[in-house]
Amino acid sequence: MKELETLSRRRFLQNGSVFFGASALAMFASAESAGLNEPPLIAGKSGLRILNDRPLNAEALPHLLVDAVTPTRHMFIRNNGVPPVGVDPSGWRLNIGGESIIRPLRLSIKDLRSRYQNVSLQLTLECGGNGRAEFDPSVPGNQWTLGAVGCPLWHGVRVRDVLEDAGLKNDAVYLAFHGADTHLSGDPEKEVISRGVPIEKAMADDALIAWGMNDGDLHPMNGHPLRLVVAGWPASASGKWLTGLSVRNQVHDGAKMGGQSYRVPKNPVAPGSVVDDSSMKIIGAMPVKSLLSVPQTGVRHDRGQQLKVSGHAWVGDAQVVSVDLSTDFGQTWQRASLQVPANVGAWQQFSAALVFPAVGYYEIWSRATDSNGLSQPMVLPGWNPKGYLNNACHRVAVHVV
Amino acid sequence: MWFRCRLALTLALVACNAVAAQVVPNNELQVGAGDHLVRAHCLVCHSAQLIVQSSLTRTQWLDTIRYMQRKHNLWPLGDQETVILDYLEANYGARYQSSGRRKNLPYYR
Ligand code: HEC
Repeated sequence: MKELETLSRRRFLQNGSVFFGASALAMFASAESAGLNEPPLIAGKSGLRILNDRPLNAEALPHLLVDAVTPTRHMFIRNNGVPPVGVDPSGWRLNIGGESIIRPLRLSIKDLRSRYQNVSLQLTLECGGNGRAEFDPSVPGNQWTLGAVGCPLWHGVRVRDVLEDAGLKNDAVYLAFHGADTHLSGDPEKEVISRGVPIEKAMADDALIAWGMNDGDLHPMNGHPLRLVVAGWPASASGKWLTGLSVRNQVHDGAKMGGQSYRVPKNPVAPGSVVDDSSMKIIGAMPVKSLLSVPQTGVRHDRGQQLKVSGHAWVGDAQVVSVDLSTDFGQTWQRASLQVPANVGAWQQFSAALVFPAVGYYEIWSRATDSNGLSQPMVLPGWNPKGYLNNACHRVAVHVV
Repeated sequence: MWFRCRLALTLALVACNAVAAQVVPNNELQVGAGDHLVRAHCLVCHSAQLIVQSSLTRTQWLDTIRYMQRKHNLWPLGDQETVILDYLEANYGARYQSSGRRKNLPYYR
């Protein structure tokens, strides 16, 4: 055990790779030693708030998410199990199969790069549970606040091109992924998470099999060496450490597809309700949302100056058409200027310059509206048992002096 | 103490290549009746942070245990289940927000 720890530390210090001694040790850990985790430090990441170090879950601090293209270091981490160690990209294989595939394929990353059109797209991924911390009554799971979202530039090939190469049968219903991470209990038979998306979404322009992010490889905690990136759906649909894709002739029934995971009540329920599995449905496209990254909440601002405000707005499978800002708790709103997305599936930047009538305490609220006419609510929308889909408007505090 | 020293040391080692240090979470379980059972059973697969982050009703805690038993290989807890639930309810019980539907914003500076 000591030896393994030292090995992990050496690997962390020398290669700049991730320090996940505690996770790798989970299956050997005795009950006494298990609580004494190594401090959760992640090479190649910074400005993250760690919610859990085993399995590693960490979100970006909202005021650091200023870039239009999210830097790798600020991309959030949601691990469900133990990530693979000693990954060798050249030996990595992706199996394409399932009931509804005509010609199963086994592809190396080199095959992917050489056989299909290479694309680089900025695609937004948000954890389905982003905002869970605001649920009242509270619900189990990592208490994400605001920062489980990001929009890096991803490099890869379209899922569509690979599936068309393998050939789809007429009865194709769902794309399922399989990954190389292992279960927290150490059980080698158990899949950690195997979700996916309906075949229509898998065939869309903004669904990639990606090997790179920004100016490098995928970060080890974001799925190195290969992952799925399906823009605008809960990030749990974008499998990491991707080893297989199955095209199913039914709605996929893999780990975390059924029960209460990534599912919400079919009909709205009163806060605190117990909802039967049979009354739940799978989450589809994520709802419209915005994040004010400038200013940081709690800022002191001189009344004589304009306050420059900026942030991002996004929505799954649609476009943001406007962002409105309020400094009087929603009584009046003013329109921010809004940019078009870099490509379908990318978040959009908004900005404004605000003036304040008097000194005192203000909150800036941001409210985005999408091309379906839907806007962000002011308060937590539809309470649900596992705390998904909180797209309430973002608020930051300003002390005008 | 030992943990804190190690933490400080490792933070110092990392400071050179990280722009901003990561915010490190609370990983300590509350001391209280039954905590030894929670330490023995609940920290094998994941850290205490999943527990420390939570504030759940007894029913939600029991549902969470059943969910892990159904899906994630958690073993039967026998007689100890009641003690574990007592501990979880007492230390990480439901916290209803009292300040209306949305909390006041915290002060950062
Ligand atoms: C055999 C392995 C194992 C043991 C032992 C275990 N858990 Fe878990 N637990 C899991 C897994 C796997 C998850 C899902 C983790 C994830 O999704 O990030 C989980 C999730 C949780 C969650 C979040 C639940 C949710 O709905 O997201 C809580 C809270 C939790 N565990 C508490 C406990 C408590 C309390 C105990 C002791 C009674 C315990 N765990 C023991 C495997 C285990």
